[in-house]
Amino acid sequence: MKNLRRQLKEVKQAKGLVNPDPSWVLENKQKLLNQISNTTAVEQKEKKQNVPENMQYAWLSFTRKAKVFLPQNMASLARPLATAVLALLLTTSGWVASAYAEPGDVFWGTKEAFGVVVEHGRLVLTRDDDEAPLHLEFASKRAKVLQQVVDRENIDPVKKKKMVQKAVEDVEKKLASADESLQKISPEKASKMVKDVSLKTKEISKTLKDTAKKVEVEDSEFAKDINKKATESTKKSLEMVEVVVQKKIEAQLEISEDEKNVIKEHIDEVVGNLKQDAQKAQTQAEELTEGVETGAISEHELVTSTVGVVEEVENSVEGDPSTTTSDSIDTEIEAVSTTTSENVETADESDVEQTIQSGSLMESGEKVKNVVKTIGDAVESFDEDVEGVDVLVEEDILEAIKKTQELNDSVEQAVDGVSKTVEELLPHISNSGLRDGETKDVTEGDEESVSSVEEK
Amino acid sequence: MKANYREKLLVHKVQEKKDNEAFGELYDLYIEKIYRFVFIKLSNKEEAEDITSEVFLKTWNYLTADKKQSEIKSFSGLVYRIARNTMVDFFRHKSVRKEYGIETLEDVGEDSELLEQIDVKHEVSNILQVLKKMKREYQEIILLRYIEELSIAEIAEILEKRKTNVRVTLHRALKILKQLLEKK
Repeated sequence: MKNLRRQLKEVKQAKGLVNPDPSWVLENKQKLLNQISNTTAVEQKEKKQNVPENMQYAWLSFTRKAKVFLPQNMASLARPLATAVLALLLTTSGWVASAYAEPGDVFWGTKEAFGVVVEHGRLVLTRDDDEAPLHLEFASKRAKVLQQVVDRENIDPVKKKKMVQKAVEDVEKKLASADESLQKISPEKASKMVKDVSLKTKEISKTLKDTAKKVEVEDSEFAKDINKKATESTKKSLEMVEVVVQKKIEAQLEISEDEKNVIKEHIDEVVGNLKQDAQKAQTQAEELTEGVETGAISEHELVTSTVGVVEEVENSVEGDPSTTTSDSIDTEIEAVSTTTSENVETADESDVEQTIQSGSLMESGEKVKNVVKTIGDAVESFDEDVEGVDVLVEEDILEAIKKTQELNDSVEQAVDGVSKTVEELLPHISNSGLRDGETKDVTEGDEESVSSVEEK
Repeated sequence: MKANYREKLLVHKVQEKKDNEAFGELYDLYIEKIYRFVFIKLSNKEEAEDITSEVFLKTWNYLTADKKQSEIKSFSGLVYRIARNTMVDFFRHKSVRKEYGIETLEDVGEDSELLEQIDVKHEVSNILQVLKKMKREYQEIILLRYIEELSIAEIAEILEKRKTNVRVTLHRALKILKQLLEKK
């Protein structure tokens, strides 16, 4: 078959056999061109006299040109091409519309979605070793978004809370990713990031702390939750700084003065915050102790626990609870606190319950005392530790970071201790009064003060 | 691709401006091809020359006729189609239609004086003789594909058939040509 094809190809090359005579080709061309020139001349003359060129003709001319010069399979490409163009238009318009959207706006979701896509795209296009700075940048960006959300006014509080919650979660996630990628990067890369890691993580922790403060006014429980996350982020920020510093030391590179200053500032800020937290916890603990010792807590208990304790008081003390004076309550407290076995025998059922509750209160009181002692010790040694950190920053920066971490842990523990004790005492103690650091003197109060505390 | 665009540009010039020179270029490009296409079927030099001239004149008229006419996808497709139709008209008019199937092979013999007169390679003349004995459809398809070396898509356009049809016909034509050459 191949041979046959070769033979067929040769037919074309066989001169004089199947090809025209060259002289005839030329002669015929001349003849043909002359013939068509004559007809063309006549036609063009007629055309000039007759039809002027109009829009229709121009359009036809254009479409014909398009059809002639565009590829023949263009028609089959037209549909996917149109779809692609439409998709591109929609995407671009969406992007443009959402470019200036702020949290809570209609296009905020679109903006966020675009942001996520862009982030993923950037991560895909980046080498593993270069991902850490990107993750850090994303975490920083999320912290800014959180700030925007918190600062945004005129949003439905429920919606705002949800947005804050989501933004905090995003910050946490991005910070975790940054931490994870920092662990993996090479010492050379890490050594270049010391300053950046310290500055950005410090900023993130600060944003979370500020958020907690701003939210506290409206929702103390939520604020507590955010505060916990802020503490965790502080811890993580120190860990991250430690990782990069460690890697830089491993790479046998010296930490510059500039980097040292940035880390020092970071540590100073963490220590400053810890100091505040420790003092706050100490104040709370002291108030608790004071409350237990002076009996103010018992009064709170009786006044505020309207469902439980006050009902019992109603049973034991004759008369309308709304007209119960503080004096009568005091009498009752005294009776309960000095309960003897004899009293128990003679007391009615409600008195027994009161005695049990009072017992648990005393136990809590012991706990509070313990916590106060721990806190006191912690705060006492705190100042010494802080001084130690200051010295260490100059001598051994890694050790300084570690010491700060330890401080952070001990203060966190102490704050947790106070907080747990407060929670335990909650059924007995006026929550708001103690938390806000107020010591309400109910003993001097009258019916009005009693009812106002009840409302709280 | 470049040549294809050049050809399109020439066609456009002819259509829009009735450009003689552009048509002259197209003539140069296709004159030999069309002549071969006609001559292989007729085996008569004068008749082939007349028909080839007529084909080009008709092509000019077609291109410059009405501007509302549909676009020209490819000049080769157009010119070969005109050549085919002209041939059909010619055979009808002269009543000298020569279509040979395998069955009539024995009756035909080597009757072409022209082939005997020209000094050609034996195998080429052999092929041409056998080709002449085949059905016009097979002749055309072999000529276009293996002598003119056109693509399947171009042949499909010229013959106004689908590509798959062209492939099947081509396969059959080649098979028959081989059988005939073996018998000879």
